[in-house]
Amino acid sequence: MIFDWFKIFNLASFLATGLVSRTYTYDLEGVGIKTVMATSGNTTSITYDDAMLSINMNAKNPFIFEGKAVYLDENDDVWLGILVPDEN
Amino acid sequence: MLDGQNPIIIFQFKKLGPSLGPTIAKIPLLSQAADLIAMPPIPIYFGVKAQSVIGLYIDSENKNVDIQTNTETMTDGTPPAVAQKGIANSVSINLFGKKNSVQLALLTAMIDQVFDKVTSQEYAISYLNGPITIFGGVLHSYSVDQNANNDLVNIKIELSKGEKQPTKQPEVPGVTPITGALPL
Repeated sequence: MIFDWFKIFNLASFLATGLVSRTYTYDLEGVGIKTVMATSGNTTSITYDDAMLSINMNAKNPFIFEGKAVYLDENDDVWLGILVPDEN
Repeated sequence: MLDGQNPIIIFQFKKLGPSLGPTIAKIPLLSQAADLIAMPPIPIYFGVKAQSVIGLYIDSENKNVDIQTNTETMTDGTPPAVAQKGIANSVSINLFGKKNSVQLALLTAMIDQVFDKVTSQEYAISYLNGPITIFGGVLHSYSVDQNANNDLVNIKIELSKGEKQPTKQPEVPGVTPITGALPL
């Protein structure tokens, strides 16, 4: 599956704030102005477009759900993935 | 006030300067203050009820300062702690105007301009009428009621105290995607 990946935030920086949740607003190229809410609890998740995506859920990285995905890279950056429709 | 007698409302529009970030991207800036460009103020005079010259006159007005006060008594008997929070500092003005009044048309046009700028805070309204004054205020509400039985309209304006220095709203940063199975 091919995704458009958008870098949203750095996980270590977010956890260092001690906040339970934080909203990020970006102008996603090709999508528009969107908000992504990061929440911290037993796991860290992002909520985008009514979908809650937990980082490393079920030991899967990226975690994919309903055409959206979340990926944690080696730099601790969290990426939001939006599925690119299959042209065929 | 006009000759110290008539009430006056003054609309002051400002333009916040553009962010310097995109244009001077490579020069580090230690601080960046919001750059306000003031436009000429626009005064509108109101009449008093006895006059028929000015098409808008004040029927009633009031100023209200509302503060929430929480008093917390202590378990050790020391004097209670008092915490206060401002709720409102507002002036409410009830006006009558003639339907064909130039001042009414101008006032309505100004309110429409203000509506576009409420989030960017690029405006301020001052009102002076004797002891009822508000400087650098913001519009809280505005309503106009017309009656088919006469040629008068009933206008209600509420102004609240505004921020001294409006701050520019942060721009929404853009993000360019990386397309692939993984963002590598």
